[in-house]
Amino acid sequence: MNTTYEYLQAALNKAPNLSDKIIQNLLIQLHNRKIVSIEKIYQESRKKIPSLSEPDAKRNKNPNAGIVPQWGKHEKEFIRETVIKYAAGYFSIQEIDHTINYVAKTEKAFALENIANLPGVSFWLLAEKVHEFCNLPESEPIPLSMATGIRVALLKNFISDNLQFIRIARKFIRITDLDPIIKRTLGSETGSGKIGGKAAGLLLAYKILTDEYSGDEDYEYFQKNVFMPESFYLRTDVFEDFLAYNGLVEYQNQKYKSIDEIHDEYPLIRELFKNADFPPAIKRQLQGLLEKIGEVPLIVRSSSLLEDNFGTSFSGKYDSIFLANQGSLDQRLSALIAAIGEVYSSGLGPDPLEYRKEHDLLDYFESVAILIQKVIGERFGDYFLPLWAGVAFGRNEYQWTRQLKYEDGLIRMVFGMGTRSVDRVSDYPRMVGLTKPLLRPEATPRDIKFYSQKKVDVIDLKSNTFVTMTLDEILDKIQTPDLTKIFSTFKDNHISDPIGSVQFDRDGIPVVTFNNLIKDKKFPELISRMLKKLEKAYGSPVDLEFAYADNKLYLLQCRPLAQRMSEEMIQIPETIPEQKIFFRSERDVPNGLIKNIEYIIYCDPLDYNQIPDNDKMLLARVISKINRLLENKTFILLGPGRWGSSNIKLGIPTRYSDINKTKMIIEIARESGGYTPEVSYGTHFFQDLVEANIFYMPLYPDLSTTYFNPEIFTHCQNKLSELVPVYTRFESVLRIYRIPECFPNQYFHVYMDREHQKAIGFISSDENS
Amino acid sequence: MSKTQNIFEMAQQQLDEASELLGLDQSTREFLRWPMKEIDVTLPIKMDDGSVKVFRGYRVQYNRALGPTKGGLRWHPDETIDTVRALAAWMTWKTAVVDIPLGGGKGGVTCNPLELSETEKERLARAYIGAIAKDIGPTVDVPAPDVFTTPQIMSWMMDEYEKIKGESMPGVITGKPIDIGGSKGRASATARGGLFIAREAVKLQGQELKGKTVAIQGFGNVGGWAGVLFKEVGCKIVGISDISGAYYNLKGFDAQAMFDYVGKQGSLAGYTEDGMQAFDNPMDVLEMDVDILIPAALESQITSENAERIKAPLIVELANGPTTPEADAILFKNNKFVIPDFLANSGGVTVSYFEQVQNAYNYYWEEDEVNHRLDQKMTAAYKAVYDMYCRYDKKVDMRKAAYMVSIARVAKAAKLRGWI
Repeated sequence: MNTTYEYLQAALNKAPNLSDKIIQNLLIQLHNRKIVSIEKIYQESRKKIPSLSEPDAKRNKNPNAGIVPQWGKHEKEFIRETVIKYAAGYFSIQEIDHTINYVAKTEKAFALENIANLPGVSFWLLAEKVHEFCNLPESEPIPLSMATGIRVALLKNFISDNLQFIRIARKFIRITDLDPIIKRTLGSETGSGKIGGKAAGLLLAYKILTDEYSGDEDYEYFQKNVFMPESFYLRTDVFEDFLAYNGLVEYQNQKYKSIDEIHDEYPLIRELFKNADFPPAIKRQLQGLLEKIGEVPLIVRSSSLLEDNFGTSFSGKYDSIFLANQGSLDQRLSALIAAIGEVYSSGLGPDPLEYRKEHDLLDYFESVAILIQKVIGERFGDYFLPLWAGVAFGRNEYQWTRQLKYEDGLIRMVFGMGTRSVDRVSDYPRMVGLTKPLLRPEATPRDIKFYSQKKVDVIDLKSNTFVTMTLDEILDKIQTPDLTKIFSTFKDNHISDPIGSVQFDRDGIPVVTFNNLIKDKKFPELISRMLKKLEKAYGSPVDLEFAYADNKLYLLQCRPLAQRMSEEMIQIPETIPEQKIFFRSERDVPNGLIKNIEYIIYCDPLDYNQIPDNDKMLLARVISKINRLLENKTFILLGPGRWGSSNIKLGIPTRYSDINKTKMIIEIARESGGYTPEVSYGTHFFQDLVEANIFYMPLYPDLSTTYFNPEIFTHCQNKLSELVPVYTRFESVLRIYRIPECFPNQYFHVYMDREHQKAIGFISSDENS
Repeated sequence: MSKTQNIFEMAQQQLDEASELLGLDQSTREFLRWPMKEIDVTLPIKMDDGSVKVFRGYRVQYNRALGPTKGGLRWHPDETIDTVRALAAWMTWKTAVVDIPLGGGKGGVTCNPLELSETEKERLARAYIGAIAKDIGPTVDVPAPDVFTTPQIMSWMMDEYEKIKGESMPGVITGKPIDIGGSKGRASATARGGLFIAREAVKLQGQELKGKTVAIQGFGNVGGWAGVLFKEVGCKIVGISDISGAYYNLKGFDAQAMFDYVGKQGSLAGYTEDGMQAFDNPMDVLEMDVDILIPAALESQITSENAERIKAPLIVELANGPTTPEADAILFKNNKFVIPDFLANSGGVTVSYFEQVQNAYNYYWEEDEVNHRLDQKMTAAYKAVYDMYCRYDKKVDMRKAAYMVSIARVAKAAKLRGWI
């Protein structure tokens, strides 16, 4: 007897429960590797048997028996002996080890799947099984079908039960990927809950990019260039524990109250939640977390089950709270607990509840997980900030020139915390159209300076607050060669980009352009490749948030591009009677739908040309007043040439705040009126419109494909003198029609289909009724 | 007839009126009515995506009797040779009125700079110079920045020209960044020139600028500098407007603080200071009761509609064409003293000329020296125009007087050369 024989025997004795499976596996291997056929082993074993019992003999004659026969209790021992003999003779100890490990793994996998599919299984019990599975010695991978089954069961338990998410995630997130996530998950020992949509989206996106088993060759590129911030998760059931522990469960029904009540009660709820506490076990875990990571800034974000899922994006509806996380452990813990409470409460505010109402999601039991991330940034004295951060979109809604392709996507980025690129602030993030990253919608150095970022969001570690500073203030505190990638200098009407990577020269006005970063091509290429790869895996375009610090680009969030109206397929109605159509257009048409417009404010280009220049200036003020008066109504603006131009020859010189309540702006480009048809040219405030979801469309009445008939309103009363009596004299140039008044019970509607380049504006009945 | 041809016709009409007053002979008039040379080029440019796009470029050298022609380059989608021609004529009168030894020119490329990447812009700039290199030069014709052309574009153009010539010739282009041959004092030159002119106007009436109240329409580079410089000499800036509205402060504005604010914020929206009042309509500032009104915004701001309501006795036109011809007549009738745009804002072209001079010397002046020489030029220019105005018993307005000074200078040079 050789040593392998003894080794195998010992191994089988050590794992009596698995020995049958191991023998079976070895037998199949001997057969498959053509060492000895199953038939032969079987015959050989039979010879050793003194006499066969009746049932066994009968079965062996059964032609339907498979190649691996069902063994009777007599045969089993002899066959086992034969298999051991052959295996010991032909296999190495390593091969035998592999087989034993594989069988053990398959067994654990079965057990794992069974537990994972049990209803209400505790998180930590399941976590333990995952951990055991992940720590098994290395062997052949378990069959894909089995692995997929387990992955699905685990994803449902740990992350999210959104089917669309699981459909993609099961291809990329492996069982072994879950173990490190579990280790960073906080929650009670007996409870069960998930880590929610936002956390899920980030993990999935990162895996899609860097997964070496995906078959794509670029995983190494992404492994080298994209990083994920260190994250910790508070399971959804912690939210329920929190409500119960603090007696706040009743507020789960807040959603069924009227919007006014929700509004009125929200400040109180917020205070209650902020001042609530966690059960001691959870509190200990939070304290442990803070001890472990030390005094680094944190962001507390919601990761609700509804949020960032496919189809409904809760973008910005929940609060994210930054914590400087400085000071004693007690101070830091109190701040963290208050922040989590505040994030929890934000789901009960008017905005998210209104949103849920609109999307028929009210009855869904909303359980919120919390994502606690280390903030990506670098420390400069008392201040902490990433050098750049922003959002990238898989589609470019901001095409100021036809040179930029819709499908190539867009980056909006800022210097400092990314809040300035995602929140609506009166500032100008750098917009990078990925078709031609260096193109920008301004041509002169002065305009570039004007339409650039003016303020910076940073974390002030000293005062433990999130602050907004001017460029000058923060630049006094920062010294890093990376500034040369962010800033250009405006001096003597010239914008120059820093040379090399020496210290950034502040002789002149610093302008955030990111010119040197973009010129280098690596950054736009990386973002572009990320967007494309994620889109391929998700099967739809995505948007992602990123931040750069310490020479690394971090992915902060990823989700399918919000299903805005503009992404939907718009069906242009074909049967509208001619006398109800105001316009039809087939050029430069965006995508969107505006129903039930109550007011049309129309300035005819030819009339505009007739009025004195002083009145042209004043007309902008009149429109500004009307914009405020109709604040709560649905209205659109149509007028000559370029809105937002300061040149009265080019159009009414309105600023963004003069027209910001409108639903749509139509720029009428009439050659006979002396306006250039290149309408989008010079519309500097286009960015503001995109941000505010105000639709913009040029209309070219002189084109044969355009139909434009202001005559349909001839019988309508001009409401101008009623709205702004002091400006009655503008009645000849500015017409304000209240549609339901001149077309009883009807409204104006605009349908725009980007794909087929068709738009129509027409009168018909209320489309919501 | 297109809109742009009307502009050129307007330029010709202004010339005709001044020629009539000067009693110029028919052949001189006819000679001055047309550009001396026009260059029209086709520029095939390789775009970033490998395709080739063809652009049209122009250069008009209107009149070189007084010296090499000089004028801006415009990159604009609506550019035609007709616009360029009209603007080149006006440059001729501007360089002549300030008495610098240069003629007038203008150029342009029909293109949309918003659709061009930096590398495409560079290729276009170089191709344009390649196409017109033999027709320009420090002693022939000197381009400068204008609509949508920048100091960076000037730098590429200068470099291309030097490559073709094989020698350093920075004076071929002005408006370059200071690091490669631009002049100090250029940024404030237009406003500073206006200040010197205003000072002379007041001085000739036996007064001084100190204590005068000033209203400025437009607060960009020119208006902003005007605010700072007029305040520096003791004026009280009581009215300022920009796109965001009109602002009054009877105690006088801190113009420097406002200019800094605009430098960072882009407009005066949100600016506050003690004693300041804000109003909606930016046009109201024109009608303020002040000693000096400075239109520094857009063209056609003072029209027949509001000219009667203008109260300021002295109007210094730092913007181009802020007063319509009908308004001019009303202001003249009402004894308002208007210093016309091409005299009042010629400080800019004067310092561009200084840039050429410094390039030729290859020696560069400090800003004080630039400002000092600018003062000399502007003072002399003002005196010459005022003399002409007096010679006609103040029966013509300063605009006509300025045209007459310019046209007489160009005509005299052409005669001396034996052209006419």
